[in-house]
Amino acid sequence: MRSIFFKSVSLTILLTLITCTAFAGQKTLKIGSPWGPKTLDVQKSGYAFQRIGIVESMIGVDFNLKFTPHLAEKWTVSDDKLTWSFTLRKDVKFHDGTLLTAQIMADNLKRLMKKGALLKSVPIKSITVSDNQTLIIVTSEPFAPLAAYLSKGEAAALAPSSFDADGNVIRPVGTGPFKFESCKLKDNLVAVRNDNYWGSKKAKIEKVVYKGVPDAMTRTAMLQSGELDIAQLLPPEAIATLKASGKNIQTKAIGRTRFVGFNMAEGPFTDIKTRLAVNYAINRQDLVDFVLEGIGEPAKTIYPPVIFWANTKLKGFPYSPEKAKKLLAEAGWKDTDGDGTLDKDGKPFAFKLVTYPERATLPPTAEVIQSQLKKLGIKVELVVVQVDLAKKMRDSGDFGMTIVGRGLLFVPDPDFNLNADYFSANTLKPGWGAYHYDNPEVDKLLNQGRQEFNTEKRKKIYDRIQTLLLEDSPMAYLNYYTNIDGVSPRVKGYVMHPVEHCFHLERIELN
Amino acid sequence: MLKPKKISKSFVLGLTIISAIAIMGIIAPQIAPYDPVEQHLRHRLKGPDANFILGTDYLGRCVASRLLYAIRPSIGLAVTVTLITSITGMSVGIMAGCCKKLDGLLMRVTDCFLAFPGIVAALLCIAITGPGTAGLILALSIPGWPKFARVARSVTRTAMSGLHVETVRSMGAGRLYIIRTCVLPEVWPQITTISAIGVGGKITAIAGLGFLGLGVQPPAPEWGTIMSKGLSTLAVAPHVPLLAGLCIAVTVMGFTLTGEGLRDMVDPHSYKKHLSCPLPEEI
Repeated sequence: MRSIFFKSVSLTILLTLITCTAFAGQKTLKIGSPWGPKTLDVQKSGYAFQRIGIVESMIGVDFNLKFTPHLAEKWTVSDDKLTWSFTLRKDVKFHDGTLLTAQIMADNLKRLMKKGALLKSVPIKSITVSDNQTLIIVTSEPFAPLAAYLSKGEAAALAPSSFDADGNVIRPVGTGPFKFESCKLKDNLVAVRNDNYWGSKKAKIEKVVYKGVPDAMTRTAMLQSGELDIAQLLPPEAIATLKASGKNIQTKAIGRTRFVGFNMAEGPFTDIKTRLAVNYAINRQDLVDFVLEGIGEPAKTIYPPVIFWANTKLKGFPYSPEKAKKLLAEAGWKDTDGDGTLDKDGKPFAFKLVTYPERATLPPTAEVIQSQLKKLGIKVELVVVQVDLAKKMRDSGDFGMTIVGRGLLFVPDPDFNLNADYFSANTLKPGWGAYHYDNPEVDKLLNQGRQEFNTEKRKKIYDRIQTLLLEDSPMAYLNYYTNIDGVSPRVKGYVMHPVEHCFHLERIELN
Repeated sequence: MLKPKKISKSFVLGLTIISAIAIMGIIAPQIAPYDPVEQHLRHRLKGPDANFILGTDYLGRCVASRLLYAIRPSIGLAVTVTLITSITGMSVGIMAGCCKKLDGLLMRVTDCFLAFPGIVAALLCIAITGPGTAGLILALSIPGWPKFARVARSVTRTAMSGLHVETVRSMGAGRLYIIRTCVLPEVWPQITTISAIGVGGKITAIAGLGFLGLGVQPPAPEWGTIMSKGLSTLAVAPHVPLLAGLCIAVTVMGFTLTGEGLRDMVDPHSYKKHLSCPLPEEI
């Protein structure tokens, strides 16, 4: 009798242990996104490391896009608006146990200025340390968006042990709730829980595997098969399938806008009337209803209304083929040879529309726009090529229109993107900006915007810029992105961030 | 040189399938119910009904019309690429097999191309030609021909070492005559079979390279692209990728049957099987 009792007890214990180990194996969270980490050098590209929670910057961005103290307890700006002083927390330790000091932070920012691109357009004069916890940054001219720049992953704190003798990053040692474990570039990133995290919210899950899976269908299938717990940036058509197999769908409007960029250096779109005509000729509601399956919102200005900086008074362009036809006729485009395509001075209204398939909704958007413009007699040749080649074609001017999905708040301040895309000197540079756009008034306002520290006054400046951008139409804004993430029911506490600043994985629990 | 003993049944069947498809491709504008790029956004992803006999795709375009119009680029491109690769490969292989001096050099060049990854070749072609069909043909041909060269060379070498070649040569025949009468009849049935089976693979490869911007650009229809685009809506509209897949399968079957039939008809070995007298080796 006794022996049977003993045996059953030990068997129960054994079974419990087995169950426990199986459960422990499930404490790994697997996230699939289209992109794997590009480099280990956080200061060159830090978003992946910040989103997972390996590295942290001095300033946080909360879910309402407000700046919050993070590694820096507080920051102040001097009366002449040139000197910023940041007071760092006393209790922050890196993953290797080193204490965060102002000197380490200063060294990081200095290296970032040399190696990274983030601070290239920021007029920083000097970065100094006044005591162990205080970092002083002096700018050569007033620069209001500095806090937004310093919230980026590239401006994160890295321990001195992250670098080798030559100053290259060997492994990112940060301060976040997760520690870097391993990484295969462009493929995956593995992080484990940091049990000595300084913050109040310590992570509950033990391990995070962040996988770069470029194909959206593969991500959907991986979520269905349980290979992923969270599949990010899914196409709308995946929703029905995933819901049917019991997965949760989360959506979030983000600071990313799909738009048409015109070639204003040569071709038909040098004339503002043709650009306005295309703006009127695009049926934006159709794009949302039939390409985005109703998930999204037709654009009225560059920013979605959920974002503080959006000029909500602007009404955008209503769908009006009549107005478009009138504008085209005014611009001198008529179908003189009766072939169905408009022409002017013997040249047909035909051009290349360049876009890329990496963002799944762009090619069908382009196809619908092509068919909408065809009704007006505009002949569009679609060129759907891999993004690097698309960028090359855009930079060399080998296009009439481009369709891109552009993140506008990577640096959560309007200055960053508007300056890069619309400031006359920058529009000549490679990128996705308004190709060869030049409006002295916009230039003046952009300079005013970055020197104005009063938020209300800044808002007025950026409202005015948005009005000018609709009047000049260097772009045709189509619709706002809504991220669609598929989440396994075993994941609890996943909240999407409007600028994808951080996934806040420390909030997540796994059942 | 090519004297078929009798017409093979599979050859006739295969040829019928291919001709039927080709004819449909030629008269596509006459028989297609709709313009293949015309969008009916309000009728998207619908199954077959009275208006659209094979349903509509993700932009409400008539699937039947798209499949018909796709015959020309799909088969056209696949056959062009197959012809280029097989003819190039066959010439290089025969040359290497016949001239001992050139053999080493030619086969090392072939090895280089064989080791060249397809995707790198594709990216290279984009850089050279830009996006478009010319780039696609190049991208599929560059990594495709070495396979044919290898087969052609080994068959040629076997044929060249045969007694009959020695006999013909001792009778004073030139190299070209030997290639024409002794080598080609041995090589070409093998090449035909490999190329016929490869046509289907080419159609799907076209879709894969479409992602890089090579080949047929949207909205022009092409089977491989219709299938790969249709996969994302497989759950709601399975008819789109399935029908495109069916088209590819039937075409491949047509080419394979033709290829096999051709081989049966012209392969000297299968011809020999019909002889009642014992083979020279068996005496």
